[in-house]
Amino acid sequence: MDIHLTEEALIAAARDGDTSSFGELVRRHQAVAFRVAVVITRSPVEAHDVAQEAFVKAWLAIDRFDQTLPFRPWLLRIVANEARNRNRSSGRRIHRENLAGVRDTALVYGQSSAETAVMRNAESARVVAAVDALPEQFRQVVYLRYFLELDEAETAEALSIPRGTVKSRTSRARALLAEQLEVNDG
Amino acid sequence: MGELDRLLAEAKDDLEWPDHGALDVEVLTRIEPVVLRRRSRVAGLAVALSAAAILIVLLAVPATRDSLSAWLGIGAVQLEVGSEVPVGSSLELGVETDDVGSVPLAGGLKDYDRAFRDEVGRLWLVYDASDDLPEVSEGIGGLLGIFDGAAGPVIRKQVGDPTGQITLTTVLGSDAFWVEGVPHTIDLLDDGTIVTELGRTSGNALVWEQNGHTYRFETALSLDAALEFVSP
Repeated sequence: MDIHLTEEALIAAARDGDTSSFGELVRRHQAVAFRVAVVITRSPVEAHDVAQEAFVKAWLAIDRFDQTLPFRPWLLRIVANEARNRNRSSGRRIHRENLAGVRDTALVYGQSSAETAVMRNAESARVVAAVDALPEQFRQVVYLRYFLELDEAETAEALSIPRGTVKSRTSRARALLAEQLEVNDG
Repeated sequence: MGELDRLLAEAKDDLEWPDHGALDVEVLTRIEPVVLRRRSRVAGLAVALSAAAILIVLLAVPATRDSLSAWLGIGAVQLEVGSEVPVGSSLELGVETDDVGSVPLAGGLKDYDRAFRDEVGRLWLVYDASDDLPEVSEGIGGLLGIFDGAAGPVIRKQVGDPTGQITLTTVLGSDAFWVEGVPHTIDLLDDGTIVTELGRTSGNALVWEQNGHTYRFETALSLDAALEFVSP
């Protein structure tokens, strides 16, 4: 299989049953799919299962995918649904300690001078802590919009909310963060 | 760039996410049985899986169970054999409506008595019990659920007791499966993910796909009678 194929070509081939093309789609999107799952489940272990299940379900539903639309938002919606369902069906509560564990090992020093790196790390840790302290609906929007760099439409699709709600939640989250971090939101 | 945006951008750059592992390899391993299923469908095979012993043996191997359930998926329906069936509850059909849209209906399905649309837009048609349709539940002779395949809602059918019959057949030229004598529940899914857990124990059910819609007809009829009813 030509890995330089366009996404449209890969989807078309996958719809014809070509697993290697679907495998290439998985490779292209597995990082963001997994991370969206991490954001919602707050558990890398759960997120791995969620992402795997979501890709399998995407494969099962690929015949019904509207090829006139972009693939990633559709996929991320499946991932997010699976993650939310995982949270619901297990009946578990969010384990903040899991996420804290991720953060503890997640924040790394930058590549600039040691002094700057330390400063940046501490500052980033403070920012991430402030984000994590936000109400869940705002926290998820911030992660998706700013840390995963999903656009507004993708965020709306993943969270199953209207784009207007993404805007309002983003705005509210920014205001809360600016207040918490004592910076200007401008 | 404002100060908040700068902080968020730096935090993004500093954030190191956990490793996602070999998701691509794992996914490919799992979807291979689905390919087999699709090839089988193209070949037009209509295979009856009625031997409980075979099912029980297959179910003893998790990987085989997965492939079997995937293979039995049709349209917006996935059949999960061997799942634990919870205690049944009532089904919420939604709000009664006169607008059933342009959904194609054949045979006796055209003569429904009431129509409902649930909170996520799925259509439910109710057929009162009659001489042609023996009662399946409280005066109801048949219940047809219609799901827009393009929109993605999916039913997951969980079959707990494999001693009944699961038969692959065809309805109006499309692949179909029939679940008879097996207590099973249905969960509504959205793009393959459960969004509403109905947890309802279902009667016999015929499931098929037609014109982008997935049909699920619940009835007390036999398979032959059900086929005659939905596609005379």
